[in-house]
Amino acid sequence: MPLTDHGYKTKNWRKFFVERREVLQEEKVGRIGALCRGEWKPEERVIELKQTGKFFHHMGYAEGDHLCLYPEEALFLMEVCSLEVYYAGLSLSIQQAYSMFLSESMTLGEYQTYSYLSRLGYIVMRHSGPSSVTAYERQIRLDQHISDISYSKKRKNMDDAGNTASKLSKTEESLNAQSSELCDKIPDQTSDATHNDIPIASTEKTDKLEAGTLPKKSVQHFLPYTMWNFDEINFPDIGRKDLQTHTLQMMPPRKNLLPSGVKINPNSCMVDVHKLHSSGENATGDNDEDDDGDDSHIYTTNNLTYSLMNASVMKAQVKAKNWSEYKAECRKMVTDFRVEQSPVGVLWQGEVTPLVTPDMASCTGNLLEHLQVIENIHQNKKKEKLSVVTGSRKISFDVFKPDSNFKKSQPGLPDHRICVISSSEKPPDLGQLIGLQKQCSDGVPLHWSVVDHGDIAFYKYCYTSLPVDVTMG
Amino acid sequence: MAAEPVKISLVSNKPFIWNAEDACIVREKYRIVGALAGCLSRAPRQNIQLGLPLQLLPEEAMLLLQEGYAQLVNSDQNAKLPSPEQVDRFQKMREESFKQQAEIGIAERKLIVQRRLDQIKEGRKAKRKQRLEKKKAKGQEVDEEELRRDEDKLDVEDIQITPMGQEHALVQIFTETPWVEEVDTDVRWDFPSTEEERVRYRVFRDLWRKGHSLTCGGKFGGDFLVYPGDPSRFHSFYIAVCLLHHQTMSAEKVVAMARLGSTVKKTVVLCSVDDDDELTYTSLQWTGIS
Repeated sequence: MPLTDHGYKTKNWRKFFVERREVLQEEKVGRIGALCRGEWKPEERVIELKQTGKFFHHMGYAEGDHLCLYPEEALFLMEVCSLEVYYAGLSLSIQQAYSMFLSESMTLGEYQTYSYLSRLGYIVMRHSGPSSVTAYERQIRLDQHISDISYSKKRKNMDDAGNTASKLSKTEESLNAQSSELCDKIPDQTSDATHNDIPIASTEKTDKLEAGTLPKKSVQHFLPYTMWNFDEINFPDIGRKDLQTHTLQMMPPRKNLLPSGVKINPNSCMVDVHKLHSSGENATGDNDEDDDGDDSHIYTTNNLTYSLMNASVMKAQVKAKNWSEYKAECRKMVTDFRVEQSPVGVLWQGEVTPLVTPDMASCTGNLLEHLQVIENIHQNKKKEKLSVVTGSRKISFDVFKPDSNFKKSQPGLPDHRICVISSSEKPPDLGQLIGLQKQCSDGVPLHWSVVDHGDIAFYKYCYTSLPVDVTMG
Repeated sequence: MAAEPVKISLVSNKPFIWNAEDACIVREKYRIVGALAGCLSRAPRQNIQLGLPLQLLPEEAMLLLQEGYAQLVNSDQNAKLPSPEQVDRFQKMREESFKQQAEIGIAERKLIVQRRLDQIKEGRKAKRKQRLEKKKAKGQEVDEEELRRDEDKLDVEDIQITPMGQEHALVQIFTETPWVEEVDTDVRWDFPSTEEERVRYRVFRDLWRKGHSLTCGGKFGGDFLVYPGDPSRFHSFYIAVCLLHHQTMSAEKVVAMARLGSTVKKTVVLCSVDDDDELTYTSLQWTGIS
């Protein structure tokens, strides 16, 4: 229930609005002597300074005899009332500066992030690429003595790089157009596959398929987010009370996903719900007894019985005089192993085979590794294996903590790096993330500044690796 | 009360309000909140209270325009090379301001002199006494009368006041461009352009007309946050999520929204426009049965 007008007319209420009006109406005023003057150069998109100010300590750069400021730096200094920018003899208003200074190379979102961090006191600089100083050089403080690369030169090079990047972005656009075409095709495939109720297997398939045809391009970039359509995936409802019959008919697995030698017994697709429920109750009952101190579950693992005698017999047939001979013999047995010898050798005859073969059974970890259809991506390991998208996202800023000893010629390693993203954009995909991480592999946290209509929030992606529980061998 | 329409101009295709009066009016009269995006003049280096410009949601701007409370102003002129007339106006303005400041400066100085006249007199007397005593020490002839005499004739006008230097003059860095004479309202703005934007705008307008205040809901994973009154006094009650009517959603997404709503003690409202072109609202509530 929205409040009517009288709700607004309380005393505190008025006071709030009056105060707000007061502070908003306050204008930005400075003494001429304390203000720096700059001149806007639209061709170079920089602001040339007439004299330096205190801010030159962590802003701007020198090019020849000229002192220059980047648009975002100048705009921020105007907002904090430290700089007057002239253009053709006119002192620019902040409204004019917004219209003139912001462009493709410095978007509104980027500027809002810049000013947000600068207002907090951070030293924010344009991203300068990965540092050439190694971690060890930094550790022994060698980086403080390297002075062969002058700062201005470096910054200028950076600009050139920016220009080429903008040229590149055109070719990128055409690439993106191609990729969107591909994207249009993929959903058809996946939706086809989801009809057949095993979505994981199907996406995996398209993955491999694409990786085969486009080995160098990113796979992740093209792959849309897969959503499972639960209208088309049927889970049997075994908990239904009003079940007429006591058995449920399950869908048989698809033939083309089974090893060729395997036949499905129709009876194995029937589930006796009643039995399932009662056995479940029994099982819980048993567990209760186990808790009383009986370690029967350990006993069961030591005394495995197999329906096929061969399997257990095979293991015993090693003849050796000593341990080293025994080990060599075992190793030989594993390498010489033929699946044909296996009692279930029929499984490996067709095109579709199990993920593991008996000779892989050297330890549990090894088996688990082979069973992992989708490989985990480690941030640091095996990066070169991944297809990486570069250029579609760029790191905008390097952020340093406020420090009076800060030198912009030798800024050292930034404390944070910032990527700017709009709230209406799609979040970056894995390929882009890895691509950005790869650009700067020095452990500086990369933050994502999400700009939502003037609101700014920072987020960070964290990598975690799931532990693998190997209990046996 | 037929008020002057509020001026909205586009920067990077985003609507902004640059005038303090306008920014206050839209909040107080029209319940349009927006987001302040600039530095506050009084305390520029903090993020708690920001200053002009006021950035509006596209929906907020469009609503103000459609209701006739605002007009969209062409801001292209801001990016152009200033005309000689503008420069001329600017320089005259500066000179005028400096002249005024100089006058005010002198007047203020006089006031201070007036207030401290006694101290000045004392000071002058002490100085003269010192000078005479020095003379006396050297053995020169000194008039004893002169030594004791008070400085009585001194007046404010007698004291010379040096005029204020140019470098001490105060100048203003304007927030809103003051040099634009004509208001050019010939602007094209393609909002709402997509089906999603149309739904968002319809929902925004409807909830606003029902008397709510709305802000953007990105913080809570929705499209809008709906307040029963001004956001400075109330917590939001609803998280409005705008959807196309035939959009399918997975169950987990619905659960996620309901869970979020119950955690932050707000109601999640799914908003869409149905086939009969009418707005439908559906709220999600966790029943709490476990």
